[in-house]
Amino acid sequence: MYNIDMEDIDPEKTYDLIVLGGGPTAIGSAIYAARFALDVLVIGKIFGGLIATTHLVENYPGITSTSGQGFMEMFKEHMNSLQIPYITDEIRSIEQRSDHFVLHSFFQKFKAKSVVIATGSERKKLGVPGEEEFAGRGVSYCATCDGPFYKDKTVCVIGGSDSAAKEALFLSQSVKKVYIIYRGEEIRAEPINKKRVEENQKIEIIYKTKITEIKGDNTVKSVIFDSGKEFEIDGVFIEVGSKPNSDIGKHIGIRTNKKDEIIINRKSETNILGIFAAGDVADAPFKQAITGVAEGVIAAYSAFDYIKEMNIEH
Amino acid sequence: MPIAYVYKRMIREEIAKLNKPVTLKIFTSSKNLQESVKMLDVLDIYQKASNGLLKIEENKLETNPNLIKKYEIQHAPVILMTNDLDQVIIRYLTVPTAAKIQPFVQALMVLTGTPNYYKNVIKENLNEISPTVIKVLITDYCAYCSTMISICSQFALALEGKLQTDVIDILAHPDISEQYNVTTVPTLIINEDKKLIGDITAEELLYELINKTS
Repeated sequence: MYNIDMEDIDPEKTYDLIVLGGGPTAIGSAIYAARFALDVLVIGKIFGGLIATTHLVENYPGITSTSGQGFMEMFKEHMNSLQIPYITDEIRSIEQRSDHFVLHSFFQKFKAKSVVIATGSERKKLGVPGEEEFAGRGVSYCATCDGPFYKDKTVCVIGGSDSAAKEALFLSQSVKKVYIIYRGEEIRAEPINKKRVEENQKIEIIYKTKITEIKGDNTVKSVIFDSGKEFEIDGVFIEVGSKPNSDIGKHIGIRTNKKDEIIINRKSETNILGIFAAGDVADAPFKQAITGVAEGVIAAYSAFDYIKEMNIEH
Repeated sequence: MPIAYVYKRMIREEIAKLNKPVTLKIFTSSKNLQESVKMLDVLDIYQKASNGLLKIEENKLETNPNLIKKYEIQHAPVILMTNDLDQVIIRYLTVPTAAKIQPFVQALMVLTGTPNYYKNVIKENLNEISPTVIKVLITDYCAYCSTMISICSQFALALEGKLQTDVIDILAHPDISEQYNVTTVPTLIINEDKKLIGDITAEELLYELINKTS
């Protein structure tokens, strides 16, 4: 990561663009902003975003197959080659002034003429008793992080998405058995992953079933189905979707839809002039790394255009 | 297993940013010879790429009982980053490769004078923070561990001896993993008392240290 020289963090300095987020959308946006010769800063809570926890990335055109971490290493390298500064922090609020924005974190204050919100999403909780109690003690939201702790054990993945399928496939490499527990009638994975799941001897899918409770003592021992059945298990991996991290935008009056996604147009513009959004936090119908990066790049171009107009006016 | 070429390249690129001299103490052990040799080999890469700015002071566990006692060494090999008062600020019970490279070099830079991002706010709360040891339990394949190492290291550097951060790869230390019943990473153990799991923000960590809720 390009180490920002703290002497460069001048509270009175106004960046051309500050990008919020640590995933591929944010970094992709910043890379283009730098190429447009914008003075850009990236502020992200966690470098890598959700994709960094993905076992395999096989659907980013141009990359046959790589790990989530490997994928983000490429973005990091590109970012570093352009000497784009990155700060690990979380912006809590954005204030709008006449010709710039002030961004506040707990530790610092920043100014920018424009902002790209690419804060992604976070994993949804299941919302059942025992889930919080056993977090880190048998309940996990990240198979790549925690899967190896369940070697030769029996685990379940809750969910029926492509992510759930991929988590199950990853876990099957080290655990004894994986159960995918899904409330629907058919998992919604990409056909290629669905086929892999169906052909994997270690993976069994339990359909039309919900979990109503997670039980155990020091660690998880069982889950309760909505049928009332108690099912013995050593680990529960929850993959039931995600919710957008859009609160930062809502506080300043950025419009969101019913799913709390930031509404953007084809220029990645929000309803506030000078603020753009992209990626999982925004309202695309189909969200992938490549689509997020594309929106982030468009946001950078739109910011470049916006600043050019501002400079002409002044 | 020799270090992968990609990590060698990352080490050389990162350590080239160092612009002031710094000395690291490393304690090796003949009882853990393979790990010790690996640690020394990796540090050699750092040292050679540092334009002479990084010095490695090797101490053998078996022949330095006074230093073992002074620095409270319980495991070896271990890398110690110490401040001007020779207090241990950061311990690495893990070879600084892969995701640990960037926070390792970042810590060296802050140790040698690069301003610390969190320092101003931490200093405002200095009196409310008691002496603390944070064990950062990580693995190489954990996506968010690098960020946690960075935050905890920066806090240790900002707290001027009040906080020590131990970075521990639990796959290399299964005894420690078992001791704390670790089933997820990153896991933070604060003063042997409190366990925090997952990606904690710097703000959340500060509140934990001053025993407040955000």
